[in-house]
Amino acid sequence: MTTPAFMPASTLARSSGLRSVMASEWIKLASVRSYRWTLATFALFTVTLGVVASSTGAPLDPTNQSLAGLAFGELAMGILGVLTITSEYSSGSIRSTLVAVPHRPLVLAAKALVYVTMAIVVSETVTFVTFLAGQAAMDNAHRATLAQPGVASAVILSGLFLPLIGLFGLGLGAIVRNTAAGIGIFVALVLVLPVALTPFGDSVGRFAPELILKSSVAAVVPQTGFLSPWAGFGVMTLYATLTLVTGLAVLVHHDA
Amino acid sequence: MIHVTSLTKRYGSKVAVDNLSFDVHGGRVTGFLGPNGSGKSTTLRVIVGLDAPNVGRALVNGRRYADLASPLRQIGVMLDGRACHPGRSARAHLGALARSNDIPTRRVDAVLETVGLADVASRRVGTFSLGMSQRLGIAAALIGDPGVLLLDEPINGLDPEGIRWVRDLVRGLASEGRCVLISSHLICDMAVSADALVVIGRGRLLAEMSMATFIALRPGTVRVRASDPDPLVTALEAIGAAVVRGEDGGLLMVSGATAGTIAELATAKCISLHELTPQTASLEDVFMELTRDSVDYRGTPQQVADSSNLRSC
Repeated sequence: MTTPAFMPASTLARSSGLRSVMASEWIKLASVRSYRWTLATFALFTVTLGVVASSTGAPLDPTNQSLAGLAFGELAMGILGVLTITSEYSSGSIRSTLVAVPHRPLVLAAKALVYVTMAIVVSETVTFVTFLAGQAAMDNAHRATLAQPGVASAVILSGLFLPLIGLFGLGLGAIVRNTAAGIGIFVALVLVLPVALTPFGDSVGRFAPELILKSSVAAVVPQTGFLSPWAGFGVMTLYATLTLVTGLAVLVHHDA
Repeated sequence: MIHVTSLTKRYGSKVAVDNLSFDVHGGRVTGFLGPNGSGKSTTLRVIVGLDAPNVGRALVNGRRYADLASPLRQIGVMLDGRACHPGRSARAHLGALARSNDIPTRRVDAVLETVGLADVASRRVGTFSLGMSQRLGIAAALIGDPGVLLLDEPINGLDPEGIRWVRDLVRGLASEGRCVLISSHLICDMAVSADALVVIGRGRLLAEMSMATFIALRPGTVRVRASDPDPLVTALEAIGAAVVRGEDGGLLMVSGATAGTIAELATAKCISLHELTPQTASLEDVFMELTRDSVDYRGTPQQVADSSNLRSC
């Protein structure tokens, strides 16, 4: 009998571990040009908006003022989060992915971890740059420094908030499995919802992601009627967890 | 080895696969044949765990797909249509697949070479022609050097040279002992490359037979009904003709002998012929005949074999 040219199945006890799947997801993320463009746009607009906002008037909370561009940043990072999963459905590559790694929770975990790692690095860098650039654009008398109480933590927490909202988007994408719907719902929840909630006042509005970032997480001077930075961060973590868990259930129970 | 047992898959009220059972063995190419919409792709999707069956199961090397460790090393899959992000290069696509199953990176270049895409490995897949995408799909199936291969319509969109290449490739893979299942809605695709056939229609098994048996039904075949078939069969086989006969004993499908030869043999043996009809059907016609009335074959799959009364002599 001739020796088979391929490896017999019995010698292959090893299963795909999280590390291997993460490495695979990283190759995917790094190999699509449009992701890099989105990130570059995100960085450019966030910093520019921060500088523009900082160079006008005499702000009560200069840190908050210089981080104004993050309102755009959360959109960019969120949409990237949605795309991380929905682009697999629109291109059909989800089938390749799930054929290679049939354990679906592993796929979603690897995607989320790779996305969030990339997002934290990029987002923290951009947040610090926009803070420093914004302060530089401000007149001397109003400048905030990282040494002042609450400033460093507001900047760091804001930088973490964007990846968190991105995870929220990723979960949303896993639920709807469609790019247009995913981005549409995400934008509606982040941009339209706060406006729609205006008639109900801040007591409801303070739970909208957009306002959590603007008035809780990125605020050094506490704003009345809004959540504390950590409470706001906690609420957003809850949102992200909810969409991710629901998205996981959809991924596991639906035909791909 | 693939083992499909009593598989049923419904999408809403539509039954895509209906109580389907068949086996695919190693060392040969099995053609998975059926008209468009007959449930071929659904069956393949269930085998690789993309869709969950309502009833029944499909095993690869004795296990459910989801339970396979490093599945790409055991089974290579090429599904119909694009399965790659258009913005990614062929190398990155294969690299990501390889990495997820701990397959050495050198396999990426090896399979790109095998399928003839080495020169365009860095190009974005979105710029690929249909034929190139098919080759990339085959490369993805080969990446883990698997013992089982599932290829859904692999020659779709290929030029004649590409079609020949796929045929040689699958024959080569089978001769190495691998188990190869290729689906098609065209019998011509299978005639040269397949050793065995699984034919389905409307999600049901119509026939599971060797290619040789199937070919016995094609042109050059003569339908014969004789008063006393047994000595005629013996005489025909003595001159090297192949006979496939119906279980009622009456109908004989003879290949390798002309109608004239058969008539002379019968006369010499004093056997009266009740029918002597040269079949003009092509393989395509045989296939059409087999699948056309698949709605009428809605009894048990076994009945199909009974109704066509085929038994190899």
